[in-house]
Amino acid sequence: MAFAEFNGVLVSLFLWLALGIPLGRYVAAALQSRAERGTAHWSDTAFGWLDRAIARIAGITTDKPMTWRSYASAMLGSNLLMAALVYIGLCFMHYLPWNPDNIPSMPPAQAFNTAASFISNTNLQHYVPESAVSYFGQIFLLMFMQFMSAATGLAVFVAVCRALRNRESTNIGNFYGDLIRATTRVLLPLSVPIALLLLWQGVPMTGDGRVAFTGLDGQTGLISRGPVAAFMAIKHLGTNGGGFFGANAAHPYENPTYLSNLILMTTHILLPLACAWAFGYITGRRRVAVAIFSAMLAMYLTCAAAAIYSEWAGNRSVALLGFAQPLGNLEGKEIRFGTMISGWFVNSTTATSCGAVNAMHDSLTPLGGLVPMVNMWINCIFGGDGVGFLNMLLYVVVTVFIAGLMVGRTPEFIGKKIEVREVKLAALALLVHPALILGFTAITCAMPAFASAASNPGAHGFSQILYEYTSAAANNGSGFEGLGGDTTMWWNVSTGLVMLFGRYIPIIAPLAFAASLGAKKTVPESAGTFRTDDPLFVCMLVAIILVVGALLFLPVAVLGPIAEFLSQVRG
Amino acid sequence: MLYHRKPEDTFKMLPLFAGLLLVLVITYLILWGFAAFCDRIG
Repeated sequence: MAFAEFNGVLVSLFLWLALGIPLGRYVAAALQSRAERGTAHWSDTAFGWLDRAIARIAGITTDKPMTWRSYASAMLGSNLLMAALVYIGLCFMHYLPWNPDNIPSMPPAQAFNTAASFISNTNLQHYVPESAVSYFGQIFLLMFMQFMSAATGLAVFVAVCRALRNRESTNIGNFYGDLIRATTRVLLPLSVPIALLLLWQGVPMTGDGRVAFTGLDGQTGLISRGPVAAFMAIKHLGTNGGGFFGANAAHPYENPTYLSNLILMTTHILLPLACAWAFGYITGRRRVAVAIFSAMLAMYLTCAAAAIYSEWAGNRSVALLGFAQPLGNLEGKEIRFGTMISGWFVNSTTATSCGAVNAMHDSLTPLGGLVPMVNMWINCIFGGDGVGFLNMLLYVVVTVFIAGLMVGRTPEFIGKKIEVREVKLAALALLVHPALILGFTAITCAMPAFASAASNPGAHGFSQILYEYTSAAANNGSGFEGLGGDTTMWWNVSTGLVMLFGRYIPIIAPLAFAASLGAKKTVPESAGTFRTDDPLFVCMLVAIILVVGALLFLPVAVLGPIAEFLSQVRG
Repeated sequence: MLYHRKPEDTFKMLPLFAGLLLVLVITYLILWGFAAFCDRIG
């Protein structure tokens, strides 16, 4: 059994590594316009007509150059418009069509949280989707946002790469052109075959409402279904993670088989992985891309090993009662996937900021539960579509700066001098993430009414609150759950704000520093240049990430999952 | 009965709806201000 499960881990890993490079090459070509590529690409012929049609209908110009400020303004303005429309749509959902189950409108606080959640690519769900959102809401409001939030991430990613490639230019491209290309040339064409594969595995795709059944004991009930396959494809491809059902990818209609589980895992990790390679292709710095990818992969595999080992070793409290656990810690897991693959999924969904779950994270062992939190605290091990790489760039700038201080030279990255402005912007963006997590966790714990809303006492209750804000700030969307009571307004509004600030500040700051670098002269490399494409840099980058992460989050880790682990060891 | 809420409850919550819409807009304005602040960092 263990061997069979481990084979699944190995097969998926090789599949990801094999598909990542060609997809990265495609993403790099597809996200750039023909003018900047300088050569024709088959995606121009296949999807160019669709790009032009969308631009014409929307009345927008897609080739007008933008500075980083106008790019950021276009991104914020369009995202605000979409978030407001979805918020209004959810609040008046009952009056919209395609609602066969007669689902009422969402309460405003829940709609606010949902709109913030889906526009920020988080998909934290403070509702049970199959009984709180109509089919119109699922497809035309939430799925639309899943496409747009992922496309926004990819658009900003290509803008940053473009800026880093620039030589004394402030033009970082056109946001609308990037957004449309990311949607029509990357997300849509990849979503269709994935949805068909899931359909083949048994995921439903229907516009009919709930189906009634009568059980063997004569009891009747209703089974929810809907246009699930289409929703699932972009849910994972866009590293969104918001489920069509409350049980998310543990639900047999979202993830019916071992193979569908493999497809979903592959789907949510592919684009973040491809972005690392695409950076190399767009900037022409493939060796730097290899170095950054290596650092990401090393951290990914370390965290995955910790998650799998913790779950496979079983629950210490159960072992103390004298029960054998030959299949590991099975609480909250689906037997059709198994413990090892569930641990592998836990790591992939939190490392990539997807947030879909195929097992109950609240039921993970204490150290198994620490792994997703570490992934989200670091938030740059592959990360979300496009934005994960931007988070990694922030750490790269800090690493280059510290290395420069150590050798007494002006730090440089891909031929550009890193100066005060870039370091201030990177530090600012990096510090907002822990400030949101630790600040809101502290406020919540200080308020008895909020803190008592956790369904567990002691260290695990603290972990539930910590996980909620960690997931919101990292735009992940998974949860330990179990929070609520009479304080739902607090959770809805506070996590809504955390998701929005956690999303846009780490986007705006990299745009600013990349544009700042792009406007500078390129400095020729010399023997004294600190290399950013060799194993020494990879080691330094990983070390800096771990040291910064530990300094920021070790105290809360000790109060939560580590305290819980030690209490189990003590028996 | 599957739901505790009724369709007409939507209109009883209009003040909260408007307030949170305002919060959403203000949040994006703050972020826009943050972008302006980033431009001035030297």
